[in-house]
Amino acid sequence: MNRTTRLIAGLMGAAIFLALVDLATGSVRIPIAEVWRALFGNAQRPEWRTILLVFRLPKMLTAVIAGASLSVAGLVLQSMFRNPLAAPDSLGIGAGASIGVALLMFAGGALGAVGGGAQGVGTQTSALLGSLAPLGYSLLIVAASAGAAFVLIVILFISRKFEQAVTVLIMGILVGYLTSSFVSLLVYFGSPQKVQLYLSWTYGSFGGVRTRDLPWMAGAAVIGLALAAIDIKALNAFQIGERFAFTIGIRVRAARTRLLIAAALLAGTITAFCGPIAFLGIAAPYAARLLAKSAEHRHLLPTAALTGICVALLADVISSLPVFGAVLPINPVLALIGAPLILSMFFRRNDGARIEAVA
Amino acid sequence: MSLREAPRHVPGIPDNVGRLPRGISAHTSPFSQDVRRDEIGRETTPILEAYSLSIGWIQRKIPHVLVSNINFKVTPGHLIALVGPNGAGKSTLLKTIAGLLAPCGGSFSISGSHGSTLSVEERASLLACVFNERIEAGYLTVGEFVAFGRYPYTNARNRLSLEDMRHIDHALELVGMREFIKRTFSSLSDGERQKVQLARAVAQDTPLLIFDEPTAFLDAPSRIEIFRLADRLIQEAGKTVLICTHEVDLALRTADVLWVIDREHRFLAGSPSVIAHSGAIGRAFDLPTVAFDPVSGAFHARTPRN
Repeated sequence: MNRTTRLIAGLMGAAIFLALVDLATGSVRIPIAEVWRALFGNAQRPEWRTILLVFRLPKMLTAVIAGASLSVAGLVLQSMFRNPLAAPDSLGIGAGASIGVALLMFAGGALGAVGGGAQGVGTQTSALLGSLAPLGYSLLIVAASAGAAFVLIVILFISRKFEQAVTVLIMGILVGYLTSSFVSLLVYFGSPQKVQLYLSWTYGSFGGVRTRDLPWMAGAAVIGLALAAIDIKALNAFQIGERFAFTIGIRVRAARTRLLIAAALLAGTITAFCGPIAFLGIAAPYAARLLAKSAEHRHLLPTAALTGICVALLADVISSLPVFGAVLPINPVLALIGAPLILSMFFRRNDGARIEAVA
Repeated sequence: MSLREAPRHVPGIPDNVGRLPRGISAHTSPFSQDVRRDEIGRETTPILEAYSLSIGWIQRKIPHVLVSNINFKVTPGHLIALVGPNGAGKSTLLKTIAGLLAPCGGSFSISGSHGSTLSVEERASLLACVFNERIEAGYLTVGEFVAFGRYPYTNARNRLSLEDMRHIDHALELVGMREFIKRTFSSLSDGERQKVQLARAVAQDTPLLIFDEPTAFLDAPSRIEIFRLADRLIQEAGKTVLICTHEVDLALRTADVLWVIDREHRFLAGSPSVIAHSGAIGRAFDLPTVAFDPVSGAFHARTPRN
């Protein structure tokens, strides 16, 4: 068993453990040993089964899908642009989704998103989604996806026009600025109630996805992950350079287009369902590179997916710890636990490759 | 002054043929597609052939021609050195042959296949290129880097077959870097990196190899070693190597064919000795302060005269 196999097995074990802990954690404590039994029929208390199936299982699965998707999207963009700052967010894909949501909330006054009152921050997203339901909820996802797709099309157009990946990255950052300033104008002129609603969406949540929407989210994630996996060789070669990739027989533009579509599909879908979760897309791929100690995407891709899953689950566990009295929003929790984690990984490794590993 | 350890000996052909302008002939017709052989049965289908090729770049559909009327014909198994002052168009010519730039006019062929009709995959199986680029890839190992040379042959999952491994081993052996296979690329010195880059190109197993200034950033012994390596590739594997270089004296001593692009962007091909003595190198490079001496094959500062 080689290093990578062991690492992947270890990460899988960690992910399964964290998933069980995640199911057990919440305002109603369910012992981990009981989680399994409750899921498969003979629960000690019938309400546990309901809590698990209706609330916690969808939330846990959402965290798993979001973690894998955002991490892989980040990995793809970092390798493709040979830049550790390239992330779904810095390419404006997240901002594109936000613009869709902001337009829907602020301009689409007819929908009249009636606020859910002052509940816990985490439950506000669900309150918002509830208030928009049934039509509004689907509209939110459509709006976010359309926004992300719009930015993606602009970026794809730019990438066809310009040869150099760095140019595409800079243009993407500029498009991101454009869209986010448009959003901030909308917020500036929005009513306080709508601003509050919009803000609660930007906090991020794994809890707002309904069971019957999970297959859609999972389907988009699987397509995105498969698209990334098809181009493992191109990803490896792009790390050296696009000219280099061409000379070893890779159709550079086609591969770049497929990879951009994969990244946007992954990041756009998750942003639509869970809000703009920026940290995962930047931090999880770093962590994966440091763990895998490899530049081979055959190893990096599964490592990044599993690292993303573990980080997302850990953040979800912490955000739903009963000690806080409410479910915490996912974005601040992710950054609070994730940033020190990554920093400590950098400082622990003294093999000289730490910065270069992700550069 | 040849760097070769042993002279290239072909039965039935006198040894001194090795220094004659082999592989070059006057140009009268566009490429011939048939396989031609010489009197002892060696294949003489040109590996590289150009017919009034003009190169440059195309901006907003308007071609900006840098060098025009390029004609050459080279048969396999030769070292071609491309020299010329900075900005003359050497890199542009290499990029055009590599398919990174479209020709502005005329045409060229690689191994009998028309340059502009080659697919990306076909091209990658005909020629391997080493361009000067800064490579930063953290944990990438030497073995993984050389394995890039096998990309045209591996499947989408990038699994290396036994044959791929053999090619990688052999390529590293050839450049004397086999014991470095597990090292990370970023831990190597400039000279070692250059050798590993050449090994990567060798592993691609193409009849034609293009090296763009492989001796830049290297110390003097490493420069000579790079040329010696190119020579081994030609001797042992019958490859054709095109080296773009600033080492005019090394090029004159080792190359079979010399290509010169001068300050006026004129292209000239011929045997090194003929070109050196014709004064063409002097015309290509000479500055008021520096002159080329065809006898010593080196540049020297002009002595100011009153």
